[in-house]
Amino acid sequence: MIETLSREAAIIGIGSTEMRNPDGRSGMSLYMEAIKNAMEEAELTKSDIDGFLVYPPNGSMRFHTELTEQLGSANFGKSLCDFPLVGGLMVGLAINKARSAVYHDQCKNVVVVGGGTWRSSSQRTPVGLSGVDLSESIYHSREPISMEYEFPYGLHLPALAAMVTQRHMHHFGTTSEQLAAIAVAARKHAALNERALLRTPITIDDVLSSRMIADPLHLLDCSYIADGASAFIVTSAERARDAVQEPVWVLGSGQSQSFQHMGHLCRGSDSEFDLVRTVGKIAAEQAFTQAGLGPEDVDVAELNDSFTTTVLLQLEDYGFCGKGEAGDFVADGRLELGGALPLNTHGGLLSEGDNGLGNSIPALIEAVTQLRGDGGDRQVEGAEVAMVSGVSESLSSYSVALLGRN
Amino acid sequence: MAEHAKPLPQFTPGSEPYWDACNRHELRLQRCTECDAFRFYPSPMCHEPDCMGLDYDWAEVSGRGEVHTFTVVHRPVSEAWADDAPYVIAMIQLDEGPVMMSNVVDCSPDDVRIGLPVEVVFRDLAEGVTLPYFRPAS
Repeated sequence: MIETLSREAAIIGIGSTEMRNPDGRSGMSLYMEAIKNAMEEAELTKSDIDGFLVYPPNGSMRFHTELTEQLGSANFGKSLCDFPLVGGLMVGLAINKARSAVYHDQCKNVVVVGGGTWRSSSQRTPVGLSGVDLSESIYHSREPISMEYEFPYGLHLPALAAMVTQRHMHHFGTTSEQLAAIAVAARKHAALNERALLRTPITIDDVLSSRMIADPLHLLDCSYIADGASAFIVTSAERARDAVQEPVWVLGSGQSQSFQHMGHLCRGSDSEFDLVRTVGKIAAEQAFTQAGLGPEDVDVAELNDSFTTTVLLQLEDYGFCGKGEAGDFVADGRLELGGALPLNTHGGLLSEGDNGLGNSIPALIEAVTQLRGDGGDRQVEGAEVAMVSGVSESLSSYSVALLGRN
Repeated sequence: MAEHAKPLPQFTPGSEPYWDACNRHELRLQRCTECDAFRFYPSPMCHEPDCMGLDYDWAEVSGRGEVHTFTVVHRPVSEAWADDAPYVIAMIQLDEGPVMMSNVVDCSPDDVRIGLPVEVVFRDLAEGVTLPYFRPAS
């Protein structure tokens, strides 16, 4: 019998910067502020932190060692320092690693940090999507794109998501109006979140009349490029009982990866998975099994919404509704506060902002906020269980964490 | 407006036979010599679930297939494609099995749909650089 480690680790500190970077600060500077905020909230000192999982803001394979070096000598004795550089897997992979490290006494407290400077580093040449120069934004991120077989055809990330969307519409009759409901709910929540960058309420018509990026995805179906860093601290069950903040427990986590380049998954005939039946199913099943819970137990969901389609696929593959049914599921305000499944209560990547690599940490921070009951105007009453997810930009890899109230 | 050159493919070791064939306006893909399955992109091992074949040859395929899925890109990836927008990016399911990303050309974007039969057409972009595209089948 494999130990599930459910409730064997907890999150005892969260910290963030703003989602904007008007002074053009470095990624390192933003990361330090986020870490400091998390450590101060948890009342921990530098020497209490002996584990680091750092999502580099710039893709550098050395950033994690530079960051810990710049924290100074108190952290020279760290026993974990790694970069979970695997697309959208941040939450699941980081939580798995951190949880294992604290459970096995490899570390006392593990800091997980991520973010980026996507918008501020792009404003020098303000053209293109959302006013951001695509050559430096996440929309031009070449990580998931083959420079040999894909990029020469003019591929960008919204086009990848658009092709998945087209296929979903073809199979299941999903409509642009249904997708738009996901963006409308996110904006409604962002209006209640002072950190969010886009807070003016929108309607389904606003989404449909926004500029077409890659048919059928409109501008408002795409995440809003932002800046900033965020961090959280994971510790063992034993230490969590003495934490200053109310601990939020890791109930389960899972992850699953499929393709690097989309062509490999299109065929579908080799397995149960294809463009619209994603391996997110495996990630969620792992998390639910560990936690001994099911979709019906989730009170609030903070799911990756790089595109409205990303949410659509997850709702189906995580079991909140049947395959092909998410279009109907998201209608009638079901995802809004007061609905059956409040989703992205902070506004998500669509409206709070998308700071690039590590962009699933803001979702985790919102989940912790909700489970502590600190959501203020956007608090989900009685929230006991939250789901958080990370998804790669090409909708190929998924990670899921289930968090529970103390 | 200044001419923005489209980036050419960044060739990787092992793909020369694919590109050499494109230069001759032939679509040649790897075919596993153990199980006869075609695959794309070029890679060292057969993709089939039950085959670990490391040996392969390069065999010409029909160049015919259908649109598995597609998008019409209105906001191009960069200025280099500004004059092309709106353009169609599609995943082409070849009759032989593999799926390739490409553009659907020589038609209106409005004519493209999932299941559209297509055939390969080659365009020479630069000296020694020819890309396969697809157009509605004749």
